[in-house]
Amino acid sequence: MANAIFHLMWVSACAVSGTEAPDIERARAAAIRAAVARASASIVKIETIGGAQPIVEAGPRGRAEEGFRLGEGPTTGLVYSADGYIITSSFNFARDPSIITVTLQDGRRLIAKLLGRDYIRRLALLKVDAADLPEPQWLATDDLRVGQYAIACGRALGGDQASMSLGIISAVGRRNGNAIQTDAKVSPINYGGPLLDIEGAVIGILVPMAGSGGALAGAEWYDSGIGFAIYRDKIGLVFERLAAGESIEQGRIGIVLAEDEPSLFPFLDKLLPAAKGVKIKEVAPDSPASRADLRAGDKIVALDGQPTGDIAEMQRRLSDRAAGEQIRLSVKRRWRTIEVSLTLVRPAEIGKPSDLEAPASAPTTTRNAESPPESEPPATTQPDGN
Amino acid sequence: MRRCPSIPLILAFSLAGSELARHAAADDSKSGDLAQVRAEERERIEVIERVSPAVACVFNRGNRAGGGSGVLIDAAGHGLTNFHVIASMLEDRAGDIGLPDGKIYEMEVLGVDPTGDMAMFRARRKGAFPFAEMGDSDVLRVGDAALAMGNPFLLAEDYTPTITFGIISGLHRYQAGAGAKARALRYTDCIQVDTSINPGNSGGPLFNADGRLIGINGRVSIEERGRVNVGVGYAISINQIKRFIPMWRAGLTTKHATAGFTVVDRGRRVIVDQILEGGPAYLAGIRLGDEILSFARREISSANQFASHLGVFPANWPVEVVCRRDGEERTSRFRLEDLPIPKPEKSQQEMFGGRDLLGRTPVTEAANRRAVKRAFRYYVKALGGDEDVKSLTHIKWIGKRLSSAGTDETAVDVAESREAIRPPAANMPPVELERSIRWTLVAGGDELAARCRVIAADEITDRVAVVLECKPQKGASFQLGFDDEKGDLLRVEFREGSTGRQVRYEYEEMRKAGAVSLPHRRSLYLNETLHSVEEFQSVIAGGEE
Amino acid sequence: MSAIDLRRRFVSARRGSFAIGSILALATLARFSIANPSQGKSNAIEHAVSGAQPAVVKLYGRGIGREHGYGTGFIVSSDGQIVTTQSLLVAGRSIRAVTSDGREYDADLVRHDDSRNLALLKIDGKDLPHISLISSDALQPGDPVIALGNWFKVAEGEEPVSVSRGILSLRTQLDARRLTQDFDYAGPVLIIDAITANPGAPGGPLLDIDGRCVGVIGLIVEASATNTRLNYAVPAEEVVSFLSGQSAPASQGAIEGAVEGEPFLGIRLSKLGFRQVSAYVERVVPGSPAAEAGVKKDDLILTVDGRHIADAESFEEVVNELKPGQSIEIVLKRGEKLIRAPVTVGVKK
Repeated sequence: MANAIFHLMWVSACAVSGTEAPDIERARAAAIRAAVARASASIVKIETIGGAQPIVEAGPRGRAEEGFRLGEGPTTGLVYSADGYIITSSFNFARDPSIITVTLQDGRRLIAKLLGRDYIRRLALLKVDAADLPEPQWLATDDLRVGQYAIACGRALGGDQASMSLGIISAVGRRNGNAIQTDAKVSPINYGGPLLDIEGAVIGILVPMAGSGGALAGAEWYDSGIGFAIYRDKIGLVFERLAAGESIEQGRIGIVLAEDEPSLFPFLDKLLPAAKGVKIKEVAPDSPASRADLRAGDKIVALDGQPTGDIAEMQRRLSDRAAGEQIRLSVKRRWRTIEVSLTLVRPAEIGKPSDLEAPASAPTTTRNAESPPESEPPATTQPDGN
Repeated sequence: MRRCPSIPLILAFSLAGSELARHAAADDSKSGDLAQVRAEERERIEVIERVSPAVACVFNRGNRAGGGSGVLIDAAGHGLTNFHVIASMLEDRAGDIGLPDGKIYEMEVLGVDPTGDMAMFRARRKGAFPFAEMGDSDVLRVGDAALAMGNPFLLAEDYTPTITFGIISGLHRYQAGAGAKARALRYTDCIQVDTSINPGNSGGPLFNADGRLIGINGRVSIEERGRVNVGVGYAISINQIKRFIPMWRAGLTTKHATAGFTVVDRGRRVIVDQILEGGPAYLAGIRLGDEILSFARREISSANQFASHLGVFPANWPVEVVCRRDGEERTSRFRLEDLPIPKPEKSQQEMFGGRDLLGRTPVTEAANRRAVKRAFRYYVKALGGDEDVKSLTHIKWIGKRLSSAGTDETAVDVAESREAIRPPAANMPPVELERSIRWTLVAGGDELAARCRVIAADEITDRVAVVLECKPQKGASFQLGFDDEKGDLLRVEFREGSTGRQVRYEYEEMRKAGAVSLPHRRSLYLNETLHSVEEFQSVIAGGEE
Repeated sequence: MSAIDLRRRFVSARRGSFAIGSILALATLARFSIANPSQGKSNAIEHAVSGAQPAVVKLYGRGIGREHGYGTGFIVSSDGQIVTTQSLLVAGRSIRAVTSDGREYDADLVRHDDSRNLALLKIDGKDLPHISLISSDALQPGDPVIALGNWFKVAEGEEPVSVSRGILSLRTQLDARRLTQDFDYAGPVLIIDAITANPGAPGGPLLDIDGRCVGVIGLIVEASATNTRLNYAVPAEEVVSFLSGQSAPASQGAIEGAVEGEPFLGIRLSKLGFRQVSAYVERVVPGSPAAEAGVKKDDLILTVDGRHIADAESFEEVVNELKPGQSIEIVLKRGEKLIRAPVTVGVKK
């Protein structure tokens, strides 16, 4: 009898102190492993030879951003189709390497050709001579829910297995609808690799995004819990062009923007809300803007028929328009409104000064929101977005 | 031939079967495991879908080039954010918020707390806003799940928040402030999380696994890598915030508190090393050399912990201190003193809009009137709702009265009826005065409300209360204290200008009596001395008979 | 009238309001019980760290340059042996250790292991709570892990150190540098996805979900491959070897058939001034091991002995580390083909 009581007490004590947690912990770990194992054969290691460390562009504050330098590799890619297409990130080829090899999980090492790069979505397409590559399973975009598990996989650190980092989907439809956002740790360890769901289906391709610093932009946010993966249908949209060897670059029209100055008569702004816009501060000679006769002082009030908000929004909306694409601007000059169509060009095709428009992620204004002094400042966002 | 159609089906089944078998062999995942993980995942998705509509992106009016985050806490559009997020909006008290519905709403900045880095705003629209429900940050445990939401790096183009997931890494953390004597933007007794918090997350909510608001994110520890998350973020606890909300809602700029004494660590003991003679702590009996055992209901084992815990209280908050002197434990109760609001330093001028704009707020009066109306509305609701209250004509109390000596018990049998009540006047005896104020609230709150003003928040019978001051006639005034969440009337205090006579009733143990909720314990204080306590076994509240 | 004025009056009106009679005082005391025990539900992490947390110590010393003057350690024996990472902090003369109960001790450096970057300290104590180490072998990628540490000096005195959860990302060998310097630990590491590359974190224990110590958080290093800060732990079995006095495995183990002398392959690469160039073969010494293996002029060397050759410089480095007599494989690119060439390393004459 005494024994029985003791036994019961022991059981109930266990029920109190021991949680059901270990069970779910073990189940989660098993699910993660199973997910990675399912996709693993499609996750390839990429090695490059030759090329040079890219020069980091000066940031908005006039200095090179926290000197992020490329590592020595390897990097990661994902089999896109069995016939030898490998999708990865343009970040991995910022050195412009002369030789690229792809190593499959089974140990086969193949020479790869870099077909094209999409600098907007930060993608790159490789081709290897193979016909039997294991294709991963993709998750349908409609099945994606904010809060679901996401696993970031990469091969940069070697080892037999792909590395894995667990997080959740933080947001969908980011960066003009190009990217899924995750708080799994995304970094050069897995740029170019897949973001998986808990059953091993591919959600998207991990890339650095936003941030500043040209070819390495976004890498300074590595492991910050702000990571991005490109949707499969966005990859599909550019696949043919990349496969054809095209390089997709952000288009420029050759203007410098300035935030509309505060009005001397604020009540007028309320009466005339349409007057809000983004002012052109400077027009580059020999650029789409100069050819369309845009002038300093003109105010852009709409882009493709949509009213423009502020510089940040305007730059964001321009940021995923590629060279070769057309845009329509509604421009207010004194009391007239002018409609112009422009064809975006590559930065290099613009006369002096060349790199006029800062990318969307690096607005040039520094109004307000100065951070409090201290080595550990509160987490307010500064307008330079870094 | 009728069997033919079934063949492909069987084949499909067997294929699926072999597929499953292969996976099962390849890994150690069982379908039951996956179901468990999917259930856990689904729960989180549902919580996020439920609470994220209340998460706001906070911007300067008409400018989305910078900004922070916020969260709405009621349907009327009141929201919380960090002071440092709205500091640049102080001059005209105007800003914008973007909600996940994709729309921008104008908001006004209400009360602010520069010391605690908190602020309240109110957004406007027709119809109710989605809002987050508050949790209890005192019951958090290290390891609990913590969801952060907000607009890091201004990524929310459509104002849908970034959701990050992690755990509570530490509790009761202290992060020194900035500015003169480090009094601005202090994070005391705050929550540390490994949830990713980045620039722009400031002012955004931290939720527990159930989607209850447990804190407001505002700081991160960073180092060589620059302004990105490295797994060490801090949130101001919601229990600290709750004590200030009534004042912010009324547009007040709030002060934090000092104890009127300081402490030092002596080995493992915490000793009073300085005390302001004649201050409230001193008058309450605390002396130099006393060992502090507990402060405001928390055990104190270091000077740092004392400072951290002190920081969560508004000025004038009542606290209880247990000290040891000559081996004897003694309990003192007093109100904390004001900690002056930090003046902006040169380095902070931009943040404060270049000037000291605190405390001079065009918005205060309007916000205060709204806050008074709200308190009355909540009171009526707490009583049992509009209709029930309007038809209320009499209340019968049956109970016993205890004297201050605790020996004398007398039976109490009070019958009140609406008709017999006169308007409050200075010459009334205490019981009639209290009855008069209570019935005035019931009968016609609006007229009384018009003469009231929110002046403070307070802790009354263990609840956060909004304190209103009312001046019905020259020289006299009374204060009303309502529970800030439930609307219960917790205190009525009358103060006569000429004689200085004070009469105060405090109520507790609210219970439903018929259609209305009324106190079952009523304490009377005369000139700050407890005079009697009445405990009512039953309260009979009635309408028309 | 401003809000401030009103408040002042309120203050004076409220002074002394708690000097009240005994009945309420008693009632209040009963309600405001001091300890205010947490009513929250326990969770798996709290459960797991409850055993280890009392054994974690905060270390303070001198910081130099990029070295932080504080770190983490954990007690591994009841008499006060403390495991931590080897850094300038523990090389300094005075190390202070603050135990989880807030007591402060002077700690002495007993022993250190420069290759594993581990150190053993000792404080004078008795019956101290301590952690036992278990092999990390059973820990698989995907398994939950918990890191504890004195990050950013957030916790002081008896305040519990910070806790973060993650999963085991990968088990691999480290090829890293320590911010600017080289980092010579080449043994196995546990890569995790909780962020631990933070000031004060090195030396903290890494736990599994059952609260057992499977590793020690390593010094802040950057991976050569990615140029990013690594979040990793040195596995517990290495710590156990260190404690039992075994030396770290040499990065190059004993090689069969090793011959004395300098390594020689017989390959000369094309060099163009100071620019980093790919490892193209300019000349193969006739009769050399490379010539015998079939290496030809204009071949591009991709790997030597499994190690990636990014440029001519790294080729020299790798070759210099080879041992004469060792059998290796060189992977070459010739035209669009990959060629594997087995080579026996020769001796330079």
